[in-house]
Amino acid sequence: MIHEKEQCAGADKISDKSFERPGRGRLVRRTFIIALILLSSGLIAGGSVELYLQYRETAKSIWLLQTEMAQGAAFKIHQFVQQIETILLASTQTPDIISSGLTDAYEFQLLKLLKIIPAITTIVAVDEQGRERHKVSRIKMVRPEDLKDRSKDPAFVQALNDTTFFGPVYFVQNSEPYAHIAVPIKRFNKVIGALIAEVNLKHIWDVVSEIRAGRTGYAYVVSEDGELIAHPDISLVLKGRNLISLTQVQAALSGVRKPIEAQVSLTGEEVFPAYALIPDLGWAVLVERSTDEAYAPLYSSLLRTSMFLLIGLGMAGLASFLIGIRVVKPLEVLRQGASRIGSGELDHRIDIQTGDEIEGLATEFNLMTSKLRESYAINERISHLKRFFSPQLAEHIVSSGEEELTQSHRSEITVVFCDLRNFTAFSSVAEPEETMQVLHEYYEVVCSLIRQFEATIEHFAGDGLMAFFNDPMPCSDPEVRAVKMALLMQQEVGKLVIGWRKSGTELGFGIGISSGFATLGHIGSAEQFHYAAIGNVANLASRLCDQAKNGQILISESVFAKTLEAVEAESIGELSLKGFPNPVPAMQVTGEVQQNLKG
Amino acid sequence: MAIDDWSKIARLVALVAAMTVSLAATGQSGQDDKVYRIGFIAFGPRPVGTVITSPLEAFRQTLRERGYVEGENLILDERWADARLDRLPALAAELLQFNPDIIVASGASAVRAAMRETQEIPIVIAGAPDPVGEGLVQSLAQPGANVTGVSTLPGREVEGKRLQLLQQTIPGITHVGVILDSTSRLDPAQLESAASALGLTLLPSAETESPDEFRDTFEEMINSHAEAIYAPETPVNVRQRKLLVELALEHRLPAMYASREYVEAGGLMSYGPNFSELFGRAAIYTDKILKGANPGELPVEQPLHLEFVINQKTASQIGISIPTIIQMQADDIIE
Repeated sequence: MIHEKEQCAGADKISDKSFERPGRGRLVRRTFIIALILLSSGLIAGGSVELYLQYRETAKSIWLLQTEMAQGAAFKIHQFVQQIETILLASTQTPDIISSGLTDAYEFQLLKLLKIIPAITTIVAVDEQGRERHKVSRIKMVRPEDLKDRSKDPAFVQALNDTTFFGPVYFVQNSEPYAHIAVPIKRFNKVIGALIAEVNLKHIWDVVSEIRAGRTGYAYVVSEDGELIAHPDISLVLKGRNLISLTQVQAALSGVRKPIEAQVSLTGEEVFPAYALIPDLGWAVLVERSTDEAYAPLYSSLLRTSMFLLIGLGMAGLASFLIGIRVVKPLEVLRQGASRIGSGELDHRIDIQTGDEIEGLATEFNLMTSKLRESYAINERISHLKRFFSPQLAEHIVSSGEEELTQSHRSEITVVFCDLRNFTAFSSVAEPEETMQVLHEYYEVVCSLIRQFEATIEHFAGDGLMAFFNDPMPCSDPEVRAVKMALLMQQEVGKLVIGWRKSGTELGFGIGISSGFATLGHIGSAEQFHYAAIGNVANLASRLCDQAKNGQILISESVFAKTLEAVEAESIGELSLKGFPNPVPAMQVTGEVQQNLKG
Repeated sequence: MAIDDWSKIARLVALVAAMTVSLAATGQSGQDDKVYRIGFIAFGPRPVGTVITSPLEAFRQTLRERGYVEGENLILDERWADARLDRLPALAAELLQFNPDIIVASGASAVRAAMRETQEIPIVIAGAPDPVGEGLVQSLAQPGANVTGVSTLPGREVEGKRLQLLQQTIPGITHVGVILDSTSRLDPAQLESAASALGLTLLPSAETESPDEFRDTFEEMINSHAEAIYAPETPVNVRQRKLLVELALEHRLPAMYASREYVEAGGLMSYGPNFSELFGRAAIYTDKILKGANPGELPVEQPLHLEFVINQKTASQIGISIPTIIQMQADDIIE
């Protein structure tokens, strides 16, 4: 990381306006996005599955928990009713009844029942025929004429069948919920009557209001018709509400056990309901908790998973960003380096130490640059040498090292000197373009012959040119080669001279050739140098050239001696030349010896 | 570039943190600093001593349990009419001056006095017999207007039940004196029919008001061979509770009263509601209505329990023994 930063800083330092290009952020973006998609799609997929499973599991466990609460409440209410039934049944087994059946003494048992069970408002003992025999009420006096015939009462009919009767719920004054419970009165296993109790269901309130379901939960009871029988808020019961329109009440009474969605409670709040049926009675207990509380574990588990998912995504984002940076920063350094190298800064080194393929690439780049630099230097030298030597020779010299060239040495060479007659006069009156045109045509011919004969060019000076043979590349018969080249030069330049003359330019061409030892080597600085041949032989060739008339090739005695067999020449006597104390013999080449001409 | 991104991320993190904190802060709701004013009006006398204090104390206790603290968020103005009907209108008007949030009225006459003063301020009945019959509410399930609360009795049939209990306590009695004055809204004919069904002859008292009139009435009862006394809940009887009990004791007359207050004062027995329980229920109505419930929508509750209280000491003083079957039925026996 720290290393990475240094790299970045380094890259920033290098970065220069001229090396920046538009769109350099695209790769970061693309790498970032690809990495982000790869990393986060896995996370999201896993997270979503986890979220879904957790949602289902938690929702189910919430429902199970609350259903258990409802079952507990149903059990308590069933117990409440069962207790009344048990006490009623117990009160039918008195010594009086066993000994003498339903007598007046039984009224004591009825009063006792009122005392024991506060929920009973009225209790009546009915004989076999269905006549009320004894009746006591908590709230009113019972007169003999108040005793009625109950033979048609379903409570009596069922009790007579030796079965406990749990009657439907009814409301006194449209407010207080009541129900009948009837049990058989038996003597020696024979039903001799029934005990019918009028139970004020408001007393279930004691049971219901004690039922706690979490912080906001409450339980309430509905009859099989959906009438509200018990609720912690007793006012709701006393209003005589029928709740059959509530979805959860319908579901509860249907007896189907399956989770239902959050519902609106009878007080208009959003609640999560669960329910249980009360056995024997057909009533249902519903336990409702506010959705906020019921779903709290769901929310917290979803929140937890989402947090992990978010953190994961954040980390994926960061990782993607870092990957982007890590890939792209060195690439940027590489690009800028390449750009510099491209602009000619061959000394530039790309510094990347990421230890990966990109570093390898940078190393290759640096290697390539140094090779490029070397080959560039070689090319420069070769192009420089080509000024003096033929291209092949120049390349040979460079590839074989240049030590021998840079060192001065003596060597026997044949010097060819040539220039145009009358050129100085011509150039002083002619247009510069015309002068340059003439020179161009002239050198084109001369230089191509020099290249052809692999001679070394010593220097140009206006219309004059000096070349020599046998150094640095030794060759056989340098004198013959020189003369043959001179002959061809005369032939070719002669054609030019004729052309120039036709256009009104009177120029001539002369050549001087001599041979002998000269000192050869570099003259000048390392960058600007000149391969020079210094010695009498050069002077002589120059002087001979000066003496040569148009179309004439003058050669020294030494050249003549070496070319006897190849060239025909005739003496033109001794010439007195500047810089030479004695007159120098000179020959004029007249042509080649035909039979010896071999190529 | 990188620094720009980091600062953006940092800002985002700060924003999320700030949102979380503000969300958490909204979770704590501000405390309700309203001060509620309750006007309490009772037909009866201001209680003296600890025993009789209990119903209003039960009312206060239930309110305390529901977060009302007197002097902090609750002002309770009490007005007692000393069982004098003529005082009620002025007391009710006085209470209204305080601009109460709610009026709690004990006794049908007190409720009516409050109803005459306001049709808007909710009135909670802290015990009145037969609210529908008295015209205090339209029905038990749907009171309809600004009045609701707790009734003292499930119905007038309880009067007959009291006579029957009296008869069962002293078997063989035929003549029962009834201490009833014109302030009562009890229908004497109804009482008469219940008595005749039991084979009892009722000896209605003359109009009783002053202590002397009470004494005269008791003399008359004795002369008419009354074997027992029934004193229904009437404004005058409430006011002269102590005297009534003393006179019954003095004349060794077994007596049946409407509530345990008489028995605690030395009366023989009572069958009726427990006022402490009843006042506790009234406090729940008060709380509901202060929290926004509509009194017209709150059904009237009937008492869950009617208690049968016997004073054993008084029984021995007047030389009677309570039959086992009666003792067995008693909810409370004061020794």
